Amino acid sequence: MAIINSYLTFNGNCREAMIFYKNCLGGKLVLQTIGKSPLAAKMPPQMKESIVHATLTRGDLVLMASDMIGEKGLLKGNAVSLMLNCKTEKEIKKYYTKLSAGGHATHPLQISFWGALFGDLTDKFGNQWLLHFDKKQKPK
Amino acid sequence: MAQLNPYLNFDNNCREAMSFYKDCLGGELFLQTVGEMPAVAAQMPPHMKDYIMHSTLTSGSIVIMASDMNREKRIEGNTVHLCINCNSDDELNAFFSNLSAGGNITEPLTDMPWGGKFGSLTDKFGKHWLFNYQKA
Repeated sequence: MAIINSYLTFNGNCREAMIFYKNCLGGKLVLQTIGKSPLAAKMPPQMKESIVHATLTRGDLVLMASDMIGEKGLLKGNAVSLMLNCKTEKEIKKYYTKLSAGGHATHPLQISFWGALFGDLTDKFGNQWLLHFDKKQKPK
Repeated sequence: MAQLNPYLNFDNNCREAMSFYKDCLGGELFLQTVGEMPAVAAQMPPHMKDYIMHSTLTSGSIVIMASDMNREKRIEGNTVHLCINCNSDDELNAFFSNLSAGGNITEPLTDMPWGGKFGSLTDKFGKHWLFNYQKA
């Protein structure tokens, strides 16, 4: 069965961003540079340290990213967010603090009208996160 | 352990979009309108009662959430893609074909140097998708 994950695009700072996310969320980070990929011969030499593909994996959590930008360039939007569903209160608080460092804590964690602990933030790379922890939800 | 899934924003076409994604990917769709939550509805203009407050599409391991609630004016960007990793050629072809209906194929499915079959598209709602099937 297929799986879905979010794939982020950066402008030459993919490595920095993914290391930040690894420090926030834990897990194993695999970074592949253009210089070490078959694309190296087709790309300008100054791009050889850019990331062609990166994967951060922690259990079921998978986040992918790249410095490879399409023809239209990068357009920063606000219509796709990263939803992080946490399993404990300790976890959600830790992630919120770490991910918001240097960014904007747009809505700090609070008990929502549906009873869960919820907050959102924009991290220092401009990506939007939603953090959710529902006490009634049984951990899987 | 925490789980991560994409959360999409729409402008009053969340129901249509999520129904389309359900048709494309299968699974079970949960939709909750503003009107179904009286405490929220009381704070919103009456015309918003059919807006989707929260929705979840679950198809096996795929979870996509979405809403019509926007705190600011919605801007459709291209820096966050929805990446579907398929487990068979059939699945890849079906999902790619389904999601491209009415949208724009930016890269047709092609065999790639990394041993995967890969393609990308922008769907009719403006969301950007990547597809990969890593052949064994």
